[in-house]
Amino acid sequence: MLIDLHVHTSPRSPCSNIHPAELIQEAKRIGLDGFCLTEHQVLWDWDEVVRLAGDNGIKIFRGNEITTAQGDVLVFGLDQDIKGIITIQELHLIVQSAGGFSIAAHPFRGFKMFGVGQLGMTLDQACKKKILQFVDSIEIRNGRVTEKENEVAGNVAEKLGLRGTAGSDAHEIGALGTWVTIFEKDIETETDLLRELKSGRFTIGSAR
Amino acid sequence: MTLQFLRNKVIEVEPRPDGDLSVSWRLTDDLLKAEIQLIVQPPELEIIEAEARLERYPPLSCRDASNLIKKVEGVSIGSGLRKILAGLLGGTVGCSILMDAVLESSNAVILHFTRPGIEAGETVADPDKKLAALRERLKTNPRLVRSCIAFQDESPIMAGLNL
Repeated sequence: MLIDLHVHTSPRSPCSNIHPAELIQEAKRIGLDGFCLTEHQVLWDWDEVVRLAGDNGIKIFRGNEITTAQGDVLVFGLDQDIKGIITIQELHLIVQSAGGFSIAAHPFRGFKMFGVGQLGMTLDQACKKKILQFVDSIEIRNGRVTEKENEVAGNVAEKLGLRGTAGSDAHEIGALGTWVTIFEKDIETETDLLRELKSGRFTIGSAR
Repeated sequence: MTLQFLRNKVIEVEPRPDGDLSVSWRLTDDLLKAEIQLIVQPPELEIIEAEARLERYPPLSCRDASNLIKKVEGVSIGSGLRKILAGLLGGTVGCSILMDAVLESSNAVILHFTRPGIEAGETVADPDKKLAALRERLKTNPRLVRSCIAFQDESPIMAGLNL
């Protein structure tokens, strides 16, 4: 199953230009099986997700992209919004007690004008990044970072023995599915998604 | 009546022998004397030490600046910094002086790294070569695309790039 684990829509994520209704048709067109709505600090109501999905055959799941003082984290299986900035350690405890799953989102995203490659960060230094000590996985392919930044994330995940996920981080409809997580088993519910994320039975790829 | 108000602001980034960067931000005007000092550790650009001193007539929300600034220790200069600082330093109802000081200091740190490249680009006299270099940079850095008016789809810089 091809699932884009990282998608933003407007107006819940003000930085996104995607209207939720656009997603279904585009997901069908590019052959996605589903996607996760991961707005910034806001969790979709389940009823609204059901209405959006309709009977189109595209699976829609909910996550949350939470900003911590140490960076952004995608969280699944946490049925609450986190307001304000918390530390990664605090978020880790909350996610753990909820039985959720956390992914360091674009952990090596740099700046507009230069990236981590130009800072001369070694693999060992990258592995010591604090946020990585408190997450279950690393987003090793993100559609809005440079190839070099994705490559660093991939190398770090491999060295730390963490399974890497992928997501488009789409803020424009044309970006949906640029990177996807490919699950071995069928996923029907959010419980299934959580189980498969924890099991590590997935690889990464692209729907474009 | 003539109202006179004078403000001076200085930001300095100084590499230290241990490889860290020392950033000094100072503001002086008729009402306020403010100073923050950051130690930033490459390559992650983590703020490992932060101190602040506000004198004369700081706003009430900034009276505890020397303790408030400690919240940014452990934060890395990078994407999302504005949102993180707004959360840590209180945003519009918090100490905006400290938030501006840390953001401006962070800009200075970024300039410390980007200025040599920008200056090198400025020395290229041939406009075609300059444009080619810019287009090459766009191809390798997706975050620049559509980030400002010069990099919108209809811009001549973007013509034919299909990004």
